Amino acid sequence: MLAKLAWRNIWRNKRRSLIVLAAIVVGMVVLVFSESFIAGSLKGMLDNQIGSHTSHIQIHRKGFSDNKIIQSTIPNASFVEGVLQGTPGVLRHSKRVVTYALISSASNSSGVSLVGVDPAQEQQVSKIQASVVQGSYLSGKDHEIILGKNLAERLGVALGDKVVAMASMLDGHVGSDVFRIVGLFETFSSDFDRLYVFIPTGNAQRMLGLGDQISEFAVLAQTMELVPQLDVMLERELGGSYEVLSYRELLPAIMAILDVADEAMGIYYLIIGAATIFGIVNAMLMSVFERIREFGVLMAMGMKNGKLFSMIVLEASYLGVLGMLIGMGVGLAIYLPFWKYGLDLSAFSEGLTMVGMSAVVYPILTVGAVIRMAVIIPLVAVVAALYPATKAIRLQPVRAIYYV
Amino acid sequence: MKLLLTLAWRNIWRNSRRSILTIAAVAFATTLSIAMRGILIGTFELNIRNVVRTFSGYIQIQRVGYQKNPSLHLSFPYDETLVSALSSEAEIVAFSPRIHADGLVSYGDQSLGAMVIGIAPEGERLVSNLDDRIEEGSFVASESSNDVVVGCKLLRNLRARVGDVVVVLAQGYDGSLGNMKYRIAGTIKTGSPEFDRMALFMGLSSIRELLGMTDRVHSVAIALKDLDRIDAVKERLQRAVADPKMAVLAWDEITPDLKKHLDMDQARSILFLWVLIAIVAFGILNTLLMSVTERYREFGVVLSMGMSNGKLAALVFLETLFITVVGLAAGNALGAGMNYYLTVQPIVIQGVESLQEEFGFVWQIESSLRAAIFVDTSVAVLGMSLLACIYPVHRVRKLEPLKGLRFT
Repeated sequence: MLAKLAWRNIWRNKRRSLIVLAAIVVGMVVLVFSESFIAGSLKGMLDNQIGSHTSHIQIHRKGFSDNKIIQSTIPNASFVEGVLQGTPGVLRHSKRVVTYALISSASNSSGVSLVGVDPAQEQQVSKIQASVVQGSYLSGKDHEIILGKNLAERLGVALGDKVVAMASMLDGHVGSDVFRIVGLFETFSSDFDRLYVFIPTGNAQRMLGLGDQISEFAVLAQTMELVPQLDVMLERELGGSYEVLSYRELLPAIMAILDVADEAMGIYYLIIGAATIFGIVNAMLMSVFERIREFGVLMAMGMKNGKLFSMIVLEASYLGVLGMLIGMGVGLAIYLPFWKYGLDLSAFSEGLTMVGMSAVVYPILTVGAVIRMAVIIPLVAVVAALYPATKAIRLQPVRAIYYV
Repeated sequence: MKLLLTLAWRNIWRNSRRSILTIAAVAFATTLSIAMRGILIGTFELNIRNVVRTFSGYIQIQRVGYQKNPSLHLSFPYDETLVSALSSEAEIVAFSPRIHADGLVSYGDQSLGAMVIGIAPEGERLVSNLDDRIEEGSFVASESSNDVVVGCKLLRNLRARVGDVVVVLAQGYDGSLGNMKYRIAGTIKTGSPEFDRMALFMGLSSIRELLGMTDRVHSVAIALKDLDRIDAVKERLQRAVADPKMAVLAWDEITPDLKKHLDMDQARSILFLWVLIAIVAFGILNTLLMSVTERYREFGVVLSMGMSNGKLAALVFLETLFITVVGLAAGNALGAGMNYYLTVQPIVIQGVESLQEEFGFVWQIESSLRAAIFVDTSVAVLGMSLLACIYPVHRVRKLEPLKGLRFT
């Protein structure tokens, strides 16, 4: 009976209830938006950094990251392949030859990291192919090279021109080869564009006298969350002559910046959360206080304190749940198109010149986040109603009727 | 008019609870907006300060084209006129000349490529925080001392130790190869892989001797009093230098990648600021609406006693204005308090302290007390309140006395 009464009470004064409902719905929508965009931003930032080349995990001979000499090759590539195939959580991997080299054109030369890749394998692990802005990606044929657009500018060369790559061979001699530029790329990082060039693996191996040896395995995990435990597992399986580095260890300075961004966004979320809660509490407080006269009448007619209190709390919980559901609906309606098409951040910053997709944020909504919000919002509404409800029932009925 | 003002003010305090809730909505909106904008600006400036202190400085003077294509011969004289022009600029805190060269550093049977950088230690200390990031040993003693500081990874790859003597080989200004012996005074850890693996710092006079460079340098890095001054100082320096072959570059032209990061950060933060504004504006609207609609009975009485609708509407408007002003005052005070607190006691981010030592960065959430934050927010909140009261005031103007009286 109380339940029916509470429900009818809500719709008896449409305006008041609608105002409280609106506060809850807007609050819910804002939280869904904030939560999903923060999660999406963080993931986007990470993807920008690791997606174009670093990948989730890299495997080398131990000592390679300190001293990247050509002699530091993978001791037993097929053993590593076997371990990778057998480890759950590994999605894909690619093999690379990596060494310092000097790239020279007719007018200039520059020190770079020369990376020999198998084009088909590589494009499954990194996004270099997607970053090619002029010409095409490597096809696997010998003497093809792709380099960063700004490196090409610095060397004074264009698509189709020839460059010479010179590097230390395995046996200590200097090896070199001529390459034709088939593609130019542009990534999120202009440093990366200046320092990395890509050629086919076989070409690299022959130029450097490597036989069939390689320097690096780039590994993509199934999800980012799996990376830490994958790191540990692979270290254990491969043993002491290998080093297994996760993206956190490969990009420490970037990770530091991202960690700070993470904290800052946590604080923004807190502020927005506070605003939301306040909005709901304010609306609920006011609405209950305004009805004290009505409660006085009920008490004067004989309604027991306990029943009155329960009625008020029930009304608050109806509004809370209803508002939460509507808010969730609206929130999802806003979220889904952004989830598909992303939100272009350059609208929010003057002079933000970005390369390709990196200025677009794709929001992410997890089931956990939804459940969290679905529980907290109605709870806030109910808790907000408790104070004025207690105040109401403490009054003597006559006082309540004259309450101003 | 005076009657209306007095009435409006008394009306507010007649039902203090309702008014306080409305004032709270305005105050909260103000405080939160001030807090968020403060953090936004504070963190942005902190990030920039970190970046410029790493090495680039706020502004650099270079030869035109040097930034894109650093070549040994793109140098300029570091002479009296330049020094006095820089010294007389009030906004400049310190400046430090630098010479860059590609070279080879050898120890024992290890020979590795190095970025040789000549600096003047006293000036350099004030422009960048290189000397804070000495891992072992000490910084370059003076311009003319025969010691060098190498990157920590370079030291390891050379298999040398602090105190050992290395040979540095480089191509001099006249094309001949110069080589000299230097003692490793210390090693530096910057967190930037490029620096840690390849940087070799030596005194300005030492590198001039090695390269045969007379009084020329490749860049002068400049530290300013304040980030705001960058554009103004840049312009003044360009005019003072008055040479079409010379360029004055701001930090974002020197490290464009970091600028991109910061811009992305800003764009994201501004997005969330808009979200905050949306919800607090709605909060004000909601509260205002409710506070007016709950008083229809009261309005009905007043209208039936003969007060004109227009006067009543004006009364309600004035009440809103007073409430907003009180709310703004409270909100600004609270917001100023919060921002001030964060300025002197920033939130240090957990677990990042070790990274702080590693990179010499300062990682914390700071705020800012720039006047613009308070002025902008107050104007915005005032605007929100005025907009929010349009509908309620309109309803009051149209209210019929009996309808109001019967309102439940």
